[in-house]
Amino acid sequence: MIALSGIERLYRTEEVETAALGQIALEISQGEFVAVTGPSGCGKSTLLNVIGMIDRPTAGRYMFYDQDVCAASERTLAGLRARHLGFIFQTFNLIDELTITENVELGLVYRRTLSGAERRIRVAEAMDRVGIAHRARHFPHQLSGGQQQRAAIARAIVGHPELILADEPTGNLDSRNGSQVMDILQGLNAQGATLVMVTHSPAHADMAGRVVEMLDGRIVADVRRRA
Amino acid sequence: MPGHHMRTLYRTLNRHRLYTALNIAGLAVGIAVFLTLMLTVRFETGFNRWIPDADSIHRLNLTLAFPGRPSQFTSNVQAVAMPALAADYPQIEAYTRLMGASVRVRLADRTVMQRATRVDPDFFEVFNLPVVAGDASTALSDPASVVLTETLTGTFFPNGQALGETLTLIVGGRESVYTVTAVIRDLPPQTSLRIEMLIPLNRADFPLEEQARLFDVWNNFSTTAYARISEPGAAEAINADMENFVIRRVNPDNLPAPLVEVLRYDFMALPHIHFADARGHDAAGAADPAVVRLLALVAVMTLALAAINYINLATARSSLRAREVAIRKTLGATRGALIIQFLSEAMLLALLAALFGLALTELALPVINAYGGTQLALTYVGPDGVLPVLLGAVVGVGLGAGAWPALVISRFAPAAVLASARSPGGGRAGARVRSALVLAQFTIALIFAMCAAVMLAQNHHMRHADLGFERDGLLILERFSWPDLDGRRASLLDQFRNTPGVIAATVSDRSPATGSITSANAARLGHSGAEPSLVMEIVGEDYFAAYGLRLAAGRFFDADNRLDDAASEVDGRNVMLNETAVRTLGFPDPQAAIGEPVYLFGNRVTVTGVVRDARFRSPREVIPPVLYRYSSGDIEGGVAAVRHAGDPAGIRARLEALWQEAAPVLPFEAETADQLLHAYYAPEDHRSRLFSLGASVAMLIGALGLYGMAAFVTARRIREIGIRKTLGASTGDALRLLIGQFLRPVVAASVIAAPSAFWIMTVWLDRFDDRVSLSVLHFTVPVLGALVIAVLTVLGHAVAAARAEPARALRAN
Repeated sequence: MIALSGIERLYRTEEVETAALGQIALEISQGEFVAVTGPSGCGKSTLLNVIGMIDRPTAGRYMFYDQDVCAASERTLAGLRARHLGFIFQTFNLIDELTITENVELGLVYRRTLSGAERRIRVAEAMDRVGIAHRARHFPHQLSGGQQQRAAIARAIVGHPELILADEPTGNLDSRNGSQVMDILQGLNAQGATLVMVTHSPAHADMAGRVVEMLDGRIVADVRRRA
Repeated sequence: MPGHHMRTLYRTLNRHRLYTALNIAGLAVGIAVFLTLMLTVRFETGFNRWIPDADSIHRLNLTLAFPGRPSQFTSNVQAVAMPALAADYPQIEAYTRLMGASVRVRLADRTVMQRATRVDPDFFEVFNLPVVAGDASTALSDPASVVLTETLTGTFFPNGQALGETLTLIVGGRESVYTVTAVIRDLPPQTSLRIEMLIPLNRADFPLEEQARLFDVWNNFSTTAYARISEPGAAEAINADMENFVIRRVNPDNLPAPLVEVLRYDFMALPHIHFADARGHDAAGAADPAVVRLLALVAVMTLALAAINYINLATARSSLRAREVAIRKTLGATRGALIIQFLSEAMLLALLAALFGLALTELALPVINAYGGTQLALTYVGPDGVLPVLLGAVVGVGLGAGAWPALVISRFAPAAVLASARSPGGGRAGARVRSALVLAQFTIALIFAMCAAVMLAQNHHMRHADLGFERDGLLILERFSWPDLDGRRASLLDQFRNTPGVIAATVSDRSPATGSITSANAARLGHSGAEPSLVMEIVGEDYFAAYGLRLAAGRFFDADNRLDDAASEVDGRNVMLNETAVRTLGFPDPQAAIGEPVYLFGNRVTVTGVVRDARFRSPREVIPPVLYRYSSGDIEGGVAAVRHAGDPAGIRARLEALWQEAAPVLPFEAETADQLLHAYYAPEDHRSRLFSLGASVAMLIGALGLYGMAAFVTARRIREIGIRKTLGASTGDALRLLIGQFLRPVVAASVIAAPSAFWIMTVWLDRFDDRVSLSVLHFTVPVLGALVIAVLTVLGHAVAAARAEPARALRAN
């Protein structure tokens, strides 16, 4: 599904050049649950952004299915994101001005393939699935952190994406809410979604079938475990 | 999708109410000013265009260049000119001459005064005015026919039936019965012609001794003349041949030679005369095209300011929406979709603002109309409909103001925005653009304010300037020359003089705002150069005391000195001059003219006194050289003037009683000098006030923009201030830092605005003969005002930011 080779990401300012990623080679197959770990600043989030096509690598080759991501136009990438990807962030990133329902619906708005009625059904399903249907008409700031993250997950999955990218999804949550979120993510993976998750938590990393460890922009370990 | 965007928009607007209010208010006020000024501009530019075939109807203009006097543009031409032109140029299909007349209408119970116009029978062949009743083609063929407007019909025939009815009119002292042959619709205010009652212009209606003077000579300018010339280019062809016409046709009739240089005729199509008249003798009521252009400029600029305001607020606020944009992009929104979202947002805001602006305009128009005596009205559909203009403004502002924020905001890179806690504000380039926009706003607003200051100062100056005569405590009786008073004028004046409260009473053939001028060629023996043409004014006893003219040299006329009296038969009469005449005749100073001989029509007269210049007409017009002669006899066309002390109402009542005793059927009318001069000053006043309105609104919008900037920029600098305060900066230091940041564009704007305004106002003031001198105050006061407004505007936010606890400020991110 995903094939990265020779991926580099440099950040240039006027005077310094920082390598956030160097010579990354990584293949991820459909249905995998990959945890990316490592110390702060090692390039985990950058890697996730590159995989999520919201950041372009400076060099290297990225094939998503048989699509060359590096060569694709901004427009094509937007389409790929809308059809295949779901994002979950540490800071939730819900839009403050929209209700929970509307935030979740945002995951379908840019797909343009569904009718309004279909959209409403899918949104209701997604919210049911993460257990926030009772908060449908509330605004994000009226919800607890755990509820907000569940809403964000609903938004990520409402489009039935094949690939879900989660950037420290439990980082801002207490342990009880954290495990709830992890349960949901595991469930999604069990139903066939490919999952790439950046995490600091060894316990949560252990729940993944494969752990990629990074240091200073490079992959230093890639461990698959048997389920 | 659109539903979703509408919802997002509504929520966004609702959540950031301050931003929304600032934006909509700025735009709405801008649109309201734009609409109001555009209505004014359209009103002025649309003059006479409603008249059928306006482009084919041409007025005969005349530029008189008498030697020694500035050339004078007028529509008053000799009655003999148009028939001669029509005979020479077959392109003239029809013509009509117009001559004003004051008539009295004898009703069952009373006699009322009425303005009437004598016209040639072909009037309706030239002016195809809408006729309500009667047959226009024959309406004026009978000498005893009269045409009325609908309003007049209502006045004289309350039952509404006028056609075929009769009216008893007293015209030029002769009473006869006229038949109403047609009723025309009232002329709309956008008309240079002022027509209420038409009667045929008939030579036989004038006393025999006046006929030749009015109809046959080339030195009496008492008609206006219009011709129908519909062939394209024909009017221009005739204009090109006018010099030959003058050589061929004009008789000197006492006019100074060479005639070709003195008389310049030209035909001008109706739509142009409203603006053309501003430069001439008929300036009252006409519009100065420069001022109208200026108003149009202010209208567009104000709208542009409002648009700039939107751009500023939208980009400054963009940081707040960066996260939204990043999320939307992450979820698969294309840049195009985001651009459309932000553009439609701008368009919708503009539409909302347009509705508010429309409402504001409707509310403001009655006030503006009452203020300026105009009849501006919003029409929504039709050829003059405001909707297309408004829609154009909405699309223009929406696209113009929405484009830049949409491009900036939609460009944010999602990964960068989501990774950093700091949100982008459009970057350094964005900040620079915003500073430039605020600078532009304040520059325009300041230019407006400076120009408005000068205009208001000029208006104040014109209203209060020394006119050379005392305008207060002066009543002018223009009907003094009516035949009713024949033989009673001297005794009536004596009665006036004996009335308690009256200081002086006099009669003269020229009064403030009068259009009637008698010219006299004067010469000095042994003095080279052309014989200058002076305005000759015949004055009665006490003239100088009544008008309050001041002596510059020599002495006033003395009623007991027979040498002063033009009515006496003695040779070597004495005359007086004004200061301009002294210069025109080449005397070094007033004193030098005293006792000197001057030749008037070849007769030797002596200058015995010089008075200071008096401004009897428009402040735009140069004061002419005047030669005064005293006459103890009846003065033809003489207007009485009464100087009084105390309550004018009481004096007026006493004068009226005396008047009615002498002339029972001639209604009494007394006007103050201000009333007579009103037509010169009022339109100027009105337009300056409109301009000031635009200027104030521009300033207001500038302040709104600054307020919005302050709100967002200080919020972004809270962290910086926290750091500075941790390092030991005081609240005062922080405050100075913040306020300084906002004052910089105002100061820079002043530097750009002052020279621009200075230049514009120098050009503008150049159109006035009597003008205020530009002062530093006209420029510094608006700058100080802008600084005060700017400080007050940003103070709230700056104080809040500067006083914030450093620890809290640092946590803010």
